[in-house]
Amino acid sequence: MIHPVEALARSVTELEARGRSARRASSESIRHFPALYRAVVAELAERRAHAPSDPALHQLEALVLRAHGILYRPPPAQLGPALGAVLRGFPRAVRATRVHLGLATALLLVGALWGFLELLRDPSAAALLLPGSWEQNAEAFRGGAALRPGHPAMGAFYFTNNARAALTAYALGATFGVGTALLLLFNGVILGATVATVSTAVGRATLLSFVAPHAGVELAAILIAAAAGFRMAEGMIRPGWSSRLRSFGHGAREALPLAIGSTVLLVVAGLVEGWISPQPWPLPVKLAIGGVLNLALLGYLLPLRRGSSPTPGGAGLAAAGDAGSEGAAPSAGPSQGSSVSDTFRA
Amino acid sequence: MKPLHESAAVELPEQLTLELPLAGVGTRGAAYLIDLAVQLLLMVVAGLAVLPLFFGARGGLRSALHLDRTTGVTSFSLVLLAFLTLVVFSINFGYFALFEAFGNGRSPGKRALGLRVVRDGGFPLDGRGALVRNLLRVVDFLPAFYFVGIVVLFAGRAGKRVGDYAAGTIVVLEGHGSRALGASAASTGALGGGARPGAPLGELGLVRAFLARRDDLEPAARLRVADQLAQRLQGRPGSAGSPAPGAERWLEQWLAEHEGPEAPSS
Repeated sequence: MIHPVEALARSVTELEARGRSARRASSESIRHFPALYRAVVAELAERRAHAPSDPALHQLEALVLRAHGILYRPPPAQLGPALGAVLRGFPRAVRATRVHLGLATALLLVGALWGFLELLRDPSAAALLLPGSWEQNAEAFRGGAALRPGHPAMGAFYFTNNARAALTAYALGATFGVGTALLLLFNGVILGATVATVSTAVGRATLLSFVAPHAGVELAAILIAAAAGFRMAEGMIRPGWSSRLRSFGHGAREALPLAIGSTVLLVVAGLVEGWISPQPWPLPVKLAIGGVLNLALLGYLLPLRRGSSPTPGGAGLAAAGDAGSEGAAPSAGPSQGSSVSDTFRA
Repeated sequence: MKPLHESAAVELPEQLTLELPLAGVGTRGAAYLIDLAVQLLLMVVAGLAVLPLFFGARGGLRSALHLDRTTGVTSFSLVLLAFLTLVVFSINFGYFALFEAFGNGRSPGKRALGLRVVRDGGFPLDGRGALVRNLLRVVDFLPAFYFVGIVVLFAGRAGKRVGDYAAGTIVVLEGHGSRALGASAASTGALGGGARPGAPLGELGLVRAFLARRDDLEPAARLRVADQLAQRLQGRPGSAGSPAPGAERWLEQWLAEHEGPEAPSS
């Protein structure tokens, strides 16, 4: 009979070589693995007790560590199912974080109001308040020819900008939320200043026509990511009975699905902003598109039936549209989505 | 004596504690530089792959690079630029997370230097941990060149940057001992050819330890220790005279006899 240590070393080598496809490894080596592992751990314990300075112990320890890594390996990561799980759990996670979401919204609004009022008072402040690229954007609007047929590829630029901001807002939660708050204020100021500049240049109707289709989804996504940052920060600030570091880690892990889901929302927002928002269609059409999208988002995020068992299965964004139109968003009064688009009517 | 590496304790459910050597700032920095080079390479490759298409596009490279929302560019160049933008974004935010999630905690740079990310307690990294620790690079990078990360790493005891605290991970050095533990018959024999009946574990270890370290000893001490060991194993009383030179050879034979069929190669 082969010695357990030797058998375990063989199994470990085989399973490590197979890596992620370990599920298909020979049933023989998997079936005996736990028993072998325990036998070798027992031998290690015994030899440690009797010969603690034996150099061969290091090799035995290394073997046990490798086997430990295989025995406790999480199920292989799969992008598709993982993303599906995130999107199914996303609405519930968003609802659970409404306090953080409210804080994020308030900060963005304060910044936006300040930027907006500052530019109304003194239009030349644009040079100070707006980063170069944004000023050019505003100039482009001012140069006339405001709306033109869009292109879906433009969505890539909007998406990357927004996703960068959203993921950063999440990560900055690790600065006790200070970084996330500052990021929201800054972006609020830019938002308000842009609204002021562009609306004086091309008129509110044109601005609204450009902004209406995507603004709700886009701002909701950014705010959710910021709320995720605040959730992480809450772990640092209010650890409760747990240690501060542990609580921080718990918050960061728990808030991650919010950041991921927000990024997915930004894909939608980017496509709409690149393709549909610039179209020179009549204002009511654009408003209707924006309205339907915002309702769809609300239908996805809010529970359709109160007290019903978990979220409706198979959700995902594709289903979100259906959910929105059939449930027609249960008369959600002043919820995040609508307050978000209110920003633009300020 | 201070150990060469800080280490983290791994507590097995079997009431046993093992030490995992932690990677230091230098090694991690070097691995990061390698990863940075790989990232740049990936971006350059994507750029070069797309570049010829720009010249085929109507209006050529010039118009493709003059993105203007009022005039618009040829839609083909726009698609190419959009593609490149997405590639750069994905590499910036996805490179580490994907490689670590699907490579069991090893990005190419970590693989090259024998590093691995594991969860606290020595458990293999999961997907969520990989994402969290790498999304938080933004914070560790502040204000430039991972200043915050390095300060936190030095300040704490566990050798963690902010992302590691958030994700509950540590970066460990592999290949200390584990490399010697290939599947070769010799090493498994040395490990597994445990004590035959009759050979007390303690003395086996003693002899192994002596034979492994004898080159470090003073010649006189080496002779003396070998002789004492041999005397003890042979059960003969200590002799006052100068030690016999054949003791080492005898010890090797004794070990080979008591270790099982496969003697260690060294």
